[in-house]
Amino acid sequence: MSDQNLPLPLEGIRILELGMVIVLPLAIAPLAALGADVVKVESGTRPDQIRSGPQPENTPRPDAFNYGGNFQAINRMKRGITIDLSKPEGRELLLRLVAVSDVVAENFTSRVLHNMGLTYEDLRAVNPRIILLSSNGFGHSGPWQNYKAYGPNIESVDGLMLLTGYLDGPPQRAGSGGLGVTYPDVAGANFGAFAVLAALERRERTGEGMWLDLSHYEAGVATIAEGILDYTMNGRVPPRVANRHPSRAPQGVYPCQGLDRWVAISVATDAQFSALVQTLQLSMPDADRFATAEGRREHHDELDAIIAAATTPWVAEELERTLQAAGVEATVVQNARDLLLDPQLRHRGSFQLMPPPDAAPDIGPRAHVRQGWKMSVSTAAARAGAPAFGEHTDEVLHEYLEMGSAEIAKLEEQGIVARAPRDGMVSRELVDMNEGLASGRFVEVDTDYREKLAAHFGV
Amino acid sequence: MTLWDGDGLRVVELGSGISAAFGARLLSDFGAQVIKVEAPTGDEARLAGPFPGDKSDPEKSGLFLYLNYNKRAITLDIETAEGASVLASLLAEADVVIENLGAGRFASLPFAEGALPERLIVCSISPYGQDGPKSGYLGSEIGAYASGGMMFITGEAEREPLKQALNQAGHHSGVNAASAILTASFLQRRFGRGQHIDISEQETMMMTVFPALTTYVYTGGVMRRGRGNVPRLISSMPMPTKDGWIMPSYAGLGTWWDAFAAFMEVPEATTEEFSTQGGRRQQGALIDELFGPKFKERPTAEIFHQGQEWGLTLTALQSVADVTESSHLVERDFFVEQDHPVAGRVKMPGPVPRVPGMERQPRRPAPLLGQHNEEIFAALGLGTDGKPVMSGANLS
Repeated sequence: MSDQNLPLPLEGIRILELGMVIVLPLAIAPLAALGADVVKVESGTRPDQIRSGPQPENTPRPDAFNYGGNFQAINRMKRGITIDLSKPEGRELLLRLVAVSDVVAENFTSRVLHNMGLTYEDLRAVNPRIILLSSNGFGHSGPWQNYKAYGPNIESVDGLMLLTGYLDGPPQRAGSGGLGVTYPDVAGANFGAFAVLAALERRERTGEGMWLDLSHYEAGVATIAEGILDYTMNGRVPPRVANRHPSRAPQGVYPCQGLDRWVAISVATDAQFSALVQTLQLSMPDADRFATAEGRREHHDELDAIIAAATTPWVAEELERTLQAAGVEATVVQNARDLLLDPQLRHRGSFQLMPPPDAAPDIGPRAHVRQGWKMSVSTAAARAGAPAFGEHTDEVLHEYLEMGSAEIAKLEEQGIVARAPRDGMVSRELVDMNEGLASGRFVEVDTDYREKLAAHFGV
Repeated sequence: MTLWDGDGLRVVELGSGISAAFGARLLSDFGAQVIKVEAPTGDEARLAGPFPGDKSDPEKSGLFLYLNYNKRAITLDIETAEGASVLASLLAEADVVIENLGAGRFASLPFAEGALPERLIVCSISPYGQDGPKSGYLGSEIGAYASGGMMFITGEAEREPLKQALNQAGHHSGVNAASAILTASFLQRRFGRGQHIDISEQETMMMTVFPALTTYVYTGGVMRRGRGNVPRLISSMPMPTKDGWIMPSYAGLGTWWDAFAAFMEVPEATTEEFSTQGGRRQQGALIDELFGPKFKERPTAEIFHQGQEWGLTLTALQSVADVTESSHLVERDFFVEQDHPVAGRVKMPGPVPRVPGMERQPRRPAPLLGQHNEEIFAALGLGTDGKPVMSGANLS
């Protein structure tokens, strides 16, 4: 079979997504892109809160909940249905879907999962081969299992935040300047995708499903083992080291010409250091002190000042090119606009242009990060946008359960199925662009961003 | 029960450092059989530490021991035609090869024509990807933070952009590689077709800032670091306590504001002006002035645990010591302890996710350099040096 005729790898796998905001929907996003039939379950009283924004041109339409950018970013290629799971009939309907699905993914706390009667045992009773991904802050056992956590909480308990910060300053949260950016949510999502895929692969071998108890706290700790081992081996709590490296020196971020432009430089060898000195023509009093990595680490502050004085007149992109050509690792500290216009990312197809929803063609195409990984045969193409609220309720109930329209109308009457989120359930707050600029949350606000993006992506 | 019964994926890892090694380790947690191929000088993670007593020893590096348990390992110089031919015989019996040799380097190894089977999944991890204008650039952890966009929005407005601690880009590129490999394995099982997966550390980090990207695409606003003039509390910034730090997640506290104000004993903050999100923002610095001293009065553990009893999203900023001794993780039996023949008893984070009812103890500790040369070369009909045995071996 030629590659063009091969199906996507996960075609035929059905995933029910009972998850909101970022972690769980993002975990499932690459699976949808690579062929899984993902059905996202919301309800009139529990719409996905990430539907709120940002709105195109910061201008909400009456059904703004269908056009929020962050919802589009991580829910494309999924189908959307509504079921009110707080009602017994809703739970029963969900269990009928579970019976004909492969995976259920949810992000409730332990208490809520039990109260809803949707534990692994409950699901297994209707489908012995089911895989359940339970993805939450602290997992489903242990004394903190009902503790509440948002992304920033995870970064605080897992140890990462206390290790992150300037040498002389307080601990810092990753991405604290980015509205809606929470690093641990994406980190947890990466583990969530892995968990579901690992369980599916194992089911191919053994025929058995499983329960995946994914604690974001534990996922965070699993990526800072170097720090944990320093404690278990040596009883030491590592200090904050800002932008420095335990062996490489110099390593840091240095200013360039223009508004908030910087280049990160990392020197791994003496030869690279010589190349740096030569390229930037650094003037170093008592240069012998900097001859070895050890010496450079010892006099790092002084070296930083010398390098910063030399980089300041450079254009960041020019400095990156020049140093890389000289064999020195240099990297522009890119902002969101730089990323969208980055030639390397364009070359890789890291962004996909999504055509506008049928209901609002004037929104025009928008660039989103590709869902799914770059693979030579299985292209994670942007086949469809994110679902409008409840868009596929009839279609899925018919396809999965052979339900007819009369039966579905009855569910609607009972309040199990909703056609729109209840009023006020999705926030309509807008980004205050002027305030953002005045308060310093934005470094710049482009008015010609659509033209810039259109030119870059060749629309 | 264990997760490694049945025939797991057969994985050959050409990994040095974090990303490929962690990806292969994760696959091994779910039953993959991993053979790690190291250069005769050894994986660079063997030099990374931490080391017991700070004494550098390639068999005692904590990072290496963590990333490489469950694996068998051989040493092989794959840059030579002879070494590449041995590697090809290993790959002939493998499902997957995962590597982070550097962009384009796997493709340029001196394999014989047609040596790699069509069914092989090749997963490459590199700073910028296998091709494109920046693929030849040097990259590292700090490079991935810078090129991927997280650095620009981390830190304080008046200071330079800040890197997150340790090695998040390496680890998460490994997680993504493992996921992509498992995805490709579905096609491999059904159609015998492998493919090339191309993971870039820049892309791994870029995904972590996707809301900053959508904000630009939908509004033209370019986010930067710092909290502007928004109060610390409302920006979900860590608040100093009597003996440490608390993270007040405002996304949660804003929803339960009156309960939060009552818990912190700040009745002034329950008046009309504070009752909406917008109203609270308008109070500006007053919010921090009211709440800041209250945080300073109480110890971290008290605010954390009592706050959670109130249903509030308050958590401690834990140190690695707090994490290791966390009653929650101890009760969940999260850490695993292994006896390593050289490093001794080592305690480290166990597999994630947890699968209730399944064995969590790793199958074997991390390999010594070249520990399995003999058995793996013998299975390929080679001598302990990886060279064909003169008599008796059948290489055809």
